Amino acid sequence: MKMDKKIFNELRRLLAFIAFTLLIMQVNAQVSDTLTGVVKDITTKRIIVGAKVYTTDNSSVAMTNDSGAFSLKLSSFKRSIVVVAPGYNMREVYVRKGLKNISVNIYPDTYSNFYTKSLVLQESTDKTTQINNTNSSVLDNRNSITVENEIQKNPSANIRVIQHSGVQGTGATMFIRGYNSLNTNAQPLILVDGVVYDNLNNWNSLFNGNLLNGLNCIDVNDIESINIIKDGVSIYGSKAGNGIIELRTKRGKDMVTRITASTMVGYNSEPQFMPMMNADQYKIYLSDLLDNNTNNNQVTNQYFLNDDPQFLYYKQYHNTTNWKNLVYRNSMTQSYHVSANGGDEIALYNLSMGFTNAQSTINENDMTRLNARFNSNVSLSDKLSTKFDISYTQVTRKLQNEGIAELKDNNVIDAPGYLSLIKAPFLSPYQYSNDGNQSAKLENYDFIGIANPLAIQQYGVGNEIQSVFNLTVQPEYKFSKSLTLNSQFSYNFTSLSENSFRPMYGVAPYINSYTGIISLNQVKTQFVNQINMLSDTRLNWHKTYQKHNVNILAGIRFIQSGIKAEYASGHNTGSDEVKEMSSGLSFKSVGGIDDSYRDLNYYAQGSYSFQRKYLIDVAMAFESNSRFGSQAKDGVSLFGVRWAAFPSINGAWVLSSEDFLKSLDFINYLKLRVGYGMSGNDGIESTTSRTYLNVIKYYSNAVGLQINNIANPEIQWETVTKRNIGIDADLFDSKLSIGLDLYNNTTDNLIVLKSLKQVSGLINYYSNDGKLENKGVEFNFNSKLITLPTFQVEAGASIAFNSNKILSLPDGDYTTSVFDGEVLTAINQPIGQFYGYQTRGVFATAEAASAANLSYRTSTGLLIPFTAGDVIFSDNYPDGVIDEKDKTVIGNSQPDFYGNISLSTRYKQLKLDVLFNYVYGNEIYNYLRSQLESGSSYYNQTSAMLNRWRSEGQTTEMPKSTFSDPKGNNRFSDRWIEDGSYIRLKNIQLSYELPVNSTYIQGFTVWAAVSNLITFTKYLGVDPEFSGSNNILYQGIDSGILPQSRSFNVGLKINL
Amino acid sequence: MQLFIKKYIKLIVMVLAISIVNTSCEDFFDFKSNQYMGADENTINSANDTVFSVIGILTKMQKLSDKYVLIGELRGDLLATTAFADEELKKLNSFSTDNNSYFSDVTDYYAVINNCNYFISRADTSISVKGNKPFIKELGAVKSFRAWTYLQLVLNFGKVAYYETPILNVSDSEKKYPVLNIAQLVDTLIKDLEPCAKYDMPNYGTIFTADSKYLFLNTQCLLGDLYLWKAAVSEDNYLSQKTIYEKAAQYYADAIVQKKFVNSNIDIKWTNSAFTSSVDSWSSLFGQTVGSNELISILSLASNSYSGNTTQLPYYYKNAHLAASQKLIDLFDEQVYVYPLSSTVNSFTYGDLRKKGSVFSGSTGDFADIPLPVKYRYNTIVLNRVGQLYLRYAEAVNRAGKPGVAFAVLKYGLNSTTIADSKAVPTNEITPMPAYVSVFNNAAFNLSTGIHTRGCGNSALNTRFVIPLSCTTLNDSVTFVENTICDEYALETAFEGNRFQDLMRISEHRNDPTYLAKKIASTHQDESYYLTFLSDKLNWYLPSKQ
Repeated sequence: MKMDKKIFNELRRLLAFIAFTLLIMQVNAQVSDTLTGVVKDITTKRIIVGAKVYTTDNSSVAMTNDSGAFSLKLSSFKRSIVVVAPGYNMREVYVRKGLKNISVNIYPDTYSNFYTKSLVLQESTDKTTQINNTNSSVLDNRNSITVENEIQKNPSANIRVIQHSGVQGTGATMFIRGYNSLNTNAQPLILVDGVVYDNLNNWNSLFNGNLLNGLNCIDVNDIESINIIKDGVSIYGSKAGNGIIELRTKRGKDMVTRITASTMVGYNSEPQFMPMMNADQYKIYLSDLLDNNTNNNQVTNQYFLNDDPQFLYYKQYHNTTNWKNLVYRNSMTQSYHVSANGGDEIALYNLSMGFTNAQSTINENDMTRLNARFNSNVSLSDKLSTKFDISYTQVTRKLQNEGIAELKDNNVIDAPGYLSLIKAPFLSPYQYSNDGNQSAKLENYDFIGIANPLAIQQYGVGNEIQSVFNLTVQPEYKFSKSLTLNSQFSYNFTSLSENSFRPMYGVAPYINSYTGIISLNQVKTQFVNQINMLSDTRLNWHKTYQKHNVNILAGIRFIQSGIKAEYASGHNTGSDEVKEMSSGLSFKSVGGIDDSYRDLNYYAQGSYSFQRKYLIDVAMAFESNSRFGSQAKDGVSLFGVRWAAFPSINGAWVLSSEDFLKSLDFINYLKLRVGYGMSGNDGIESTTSRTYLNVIKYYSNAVGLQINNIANPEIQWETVTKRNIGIDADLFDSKLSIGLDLYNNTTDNLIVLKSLKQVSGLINYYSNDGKLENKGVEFNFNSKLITLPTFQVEAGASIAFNSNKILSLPDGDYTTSVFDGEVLTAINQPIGQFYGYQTRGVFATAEAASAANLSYRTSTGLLIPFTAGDVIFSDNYPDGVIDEKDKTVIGNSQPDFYGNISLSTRYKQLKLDVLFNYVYGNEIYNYLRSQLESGSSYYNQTSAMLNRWRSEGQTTEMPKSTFSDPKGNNRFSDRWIEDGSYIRLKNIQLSYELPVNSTYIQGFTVWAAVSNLITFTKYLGVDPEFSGSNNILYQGIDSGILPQSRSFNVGLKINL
Repeated sequence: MQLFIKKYIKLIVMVLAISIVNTSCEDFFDFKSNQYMGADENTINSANDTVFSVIGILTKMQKLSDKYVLIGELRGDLLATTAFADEELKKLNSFSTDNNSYFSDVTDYYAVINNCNYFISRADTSISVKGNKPFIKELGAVKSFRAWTYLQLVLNFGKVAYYETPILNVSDSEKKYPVLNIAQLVDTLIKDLEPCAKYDMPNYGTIFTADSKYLFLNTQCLLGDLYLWKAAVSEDNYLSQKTIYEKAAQYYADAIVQKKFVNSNIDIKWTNSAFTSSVDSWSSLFGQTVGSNELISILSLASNSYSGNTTQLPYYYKNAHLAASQKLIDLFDEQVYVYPLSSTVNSFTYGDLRKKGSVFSGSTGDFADIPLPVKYRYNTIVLNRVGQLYLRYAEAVNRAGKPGVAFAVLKYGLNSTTIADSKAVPTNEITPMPAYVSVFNNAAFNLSTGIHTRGCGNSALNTRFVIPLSCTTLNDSVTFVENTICDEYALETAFEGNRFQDLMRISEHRNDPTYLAKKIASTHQDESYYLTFLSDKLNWYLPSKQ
């Protein structure tokens, strides 16, 4: 393994320090003393009966009696006690030597919890890494219908969540500590109950602007906890380089049967767009374009210019239609959920079912989810127990294309949302009859070939059905108190089918002379089946020898994943009544994927703590994966394949347990953490390490076989090295908690596309080369400001800075074209910088233009000067010619910092939660605006275009409109780059717990919430938060997909 | 509940077993996708594998079509760019292509070569069915594709990295392969290809719209070309050069005889002595893909990208990126046309009618008066055809010291009558009669006429189309005939992609780079610059990143 020598030395120093500390600690003879104490509710100051108090090693356990008192045997080195009580947050308290009596205040679980639990590594607070947790008490009664929304609402800035769009269930792009990969998946690993969950990141939807989202198959009501794990993830090997989101579903708690029913209804308001020109303004704009278009047969002699009311087509061309209102809507959301929780001595279970229907704010777009889950814990004997979980979810969505397609040449504009912006406002959606009355029949496409968006919504089809079936069996055998064998077997079947139909009526025929395709209507369909199997068996040995606490874990994890997919499309069904694929269609195109991989991972982790003050975790994973090349560079050869090794070492020092901090009574808990670990990214195309032939089309139906790829047997995982130092502090009787983390993560062996030598006859290949780093600071604090019996206030804030930089690239700097723009990938620069032209306004006069003496080069090599009304581009390479050489960095899609601000108050049974999200310092490439303010096409434009340059001497920032923009005034420049910073009131929620006193009803809560109520931003687009792709190069590019909107929800929950 | 639990104890045991048993490793991780064929899985030993692999190579060949034509013509003296042309085309025309250019990229050539290498190394030609070796034809066809592609590479770039073992992984692609010059390559290719000369081409019937017999190269023609080049670049003495030229002539003659390639009735001619109406059976050959007596090898491309690989040439034609050079127009115009009025009286006019089938100047609007290369209207690229084959034959025969025979090919056509006629074919040149001439003593060639007849009327009767008396020595005659052949190449095969290579070869025959330099320089404004520039043979080649 290539290990940074400096880091290695650092680690050695840390180990030496720990060993030294261990030595100097005098090993005193064991003196046991008895601790007595009471447990109280901090808000009411009342004693708590039946709270469980135990030493962290479980050697001594007590329950509080009727007067809230307990008595516990402590030894000199087992001085941490844990207090748990139903309805309260767990609290850990260190009992200093000599202290005989203690009063422990615990917080109701409506407060956030500093002392969290996670099963991923170990079930203990003895953690050397930071884990942020959101638990069910927070998750209940929420207005989110999918999990990523709740992840975004976690007040700690430990993950950057960017909602894909306003389409219901479309998911979010998530980054933990920056962009850890350049070309492969940069999304975190998702574990659901310990099982790797495929979030369908690598598969594309048929619908433009829509991203597939595996998480929409999980009901938020089923979630028990969400953990974000940023480091210490080595045992997940090459899957955890981007961090982990660990979800756990609700399980049977105890033998009392509880039935919970909850429901929610919501209202989502129609999004507000940039103002467009009205019918009159648009008419003038069109006439303007005609003036300078020599090839305007399309528009001349058209009827919109004839203002005679007697004219036959007058009515058809003299409307004031607000297309947006016809296409978008105010929409409804409804959700119902029932669960039963209970059991007997043998089995505990949680059974839940849910139904959700959420409409998007655009017509014919919604999501319906039906889900059922049965989780059980069965104890077969004292030693043998098992979990048995089964779940099934089906999500049906109605979809349509969103935004502007990136490859316009091959697409008809058929996104109703975008059409509603560009469509001529003087046209009518419905036909006029001969007697001049508007009929109910929709209009066809218009005189400039723009489709009728209503016809697409009415006659088109856009369906998606996604279903997930999961079966998990997890037996556990306890050989002794300290030795446990746990095995998990999971079978997961995911299927996805989509079909779309673009109608012929209402959409102009599409003719492409290059491809030869003449399309009247089009059918597309795809089926994806994925089967994931996981088996994870681990042996856990735990022992406490006096002051020494040892935990050793060893396991084998095996994953087999196979995806099979088929895709087909065809044109010209002959009638809009026929909307499915058939053999008779013309220009059929089919494709398929058959891709499987296997992954075998042997892992081990040893944790040692001394007196629970000094903690050290050492972990190692050995992994082989069918995606790795047979001669993987950094791999170790064994049994004929290459193995990757992922070591990690994490240490922590619980300073608050030290006697020298005795005087600082306000410190309840203080931990310093240091970590170094490796993990990886196995996002390697499975074909990379193979030489293979593929089938190609020779002419029409004749096919041939050709060498399509030559193997790179050296291909391997990307190596992510994480270095972290952090502090967790719990102060002032848990009233203030602080977390601070500094990290420096590097990714080596980036999977990059390299050019092949031309003698190979192929163009490029994937290889491991290049390096990038992410360093940053994360800080969060939480303060329980007021803890009165009837009035409680808690406030928190977080901020995260991440600085991303490419350290090396194999073939030097390059740019990638995205949506008519360019993104720079350059050494010593962050990823995702926009690279284009700088502008300095518009030439007001011909004189100014000729004085500047700037020109551009045509494709035939001619130089043409810029004139009055053209944009003044900066001639950064001063040669008088505006070309490639003048491009420069004009923006960065990554923010300088981001975070959340939260406030939670409770007055008696009334609770108010407020959460703000903010992002600062990122730029957005407003691609939608670049089309709506281009002045180069017949599309309707924003009203900002009223200010376009129209006459000599006019000073304006908006250039003249010219058909097809021969001078490139609308080229990718800082005109389209905007400040993407924002602060948003993400969620505000008021809930009321009815004081019920009934034998049948245990609890009754009603609540109301508003999402996205206010957003403060300079961004000119509708919504500064969007992500059209999980690809890091596509971040911050607004292609006009459905923006998020305000939603108002009310709900109620009944516990029986 | 108990029953339920009992039921899945079995399952738990199974799960444990699966988890613990580790059936490592190599096979365990070796996944085969049904989407692709692994290179190791393909042994090419069934008819289907063979056909599909060959079609795969045909598809790669298609990708060379535009490079073949444009590199061959735009640098020559017959085709020029217009103001509408893309910058890349202009650069190619002005010899300023840089090594990042589309034309400098040799990937597509090596794609053909590597797929051929793969086929040749894997094809099991030992399989015999009823005493026949069914795949031997494919082997010959694939070897000729490879040889042709290597030849194109070396002629366009001056040198070539040569390998025969397929590159099947990245490290192979980074090896240093021997770099051959023209002479070395030609020798290598001849050695490789000669054993295949006797195999016939495969025939897959009609593939979409093209008769598959045209989709393969004629190995004998190719060997003729290789020998012609071998002789041209050979530094040997005249006698041994002559033997090589004869070898070339023999291969061309073999090709002609074996396939009965007869030059007759493919022409454009006036139908009256007033020269007001004409018939054309010549220009139609460029769009043909079936049933032609003229075609030998073509690259047949799809008319749109949905159906397959396409060529840009029709686009360039439609948008007037390219135009015939003034020199070519003049050459057409100065030809003498003979219309026989009776057996003794002829009517003369000026102008080779093949101009009509080659150049179109009838555009209006922006493109008015631009002489557009009509041959680019089609999705078919002609690689070899009968007219060109006869001219190559003539070129070889002339250099073999028989200018009279060579000239007869242009003027009369070779058949039993003309061979017997000492006015047509000088007796001294065919005594003793070499095999490559005697083969024309065959009834199949009875109607064969001279190539010049294709556009200039009955050239047999053309008193101005003769070897002039001023040619007193054999050398004079050879030079004169070669000049005539060079012009005939222009008249007959302009725009088809051969020009620059033809000029190179003739310069090499003469060991005089200025021959090419003069021809090309005269079409450029900056004539003296190009004269100097192209007199250096190193400048004949495109830069590349081989």
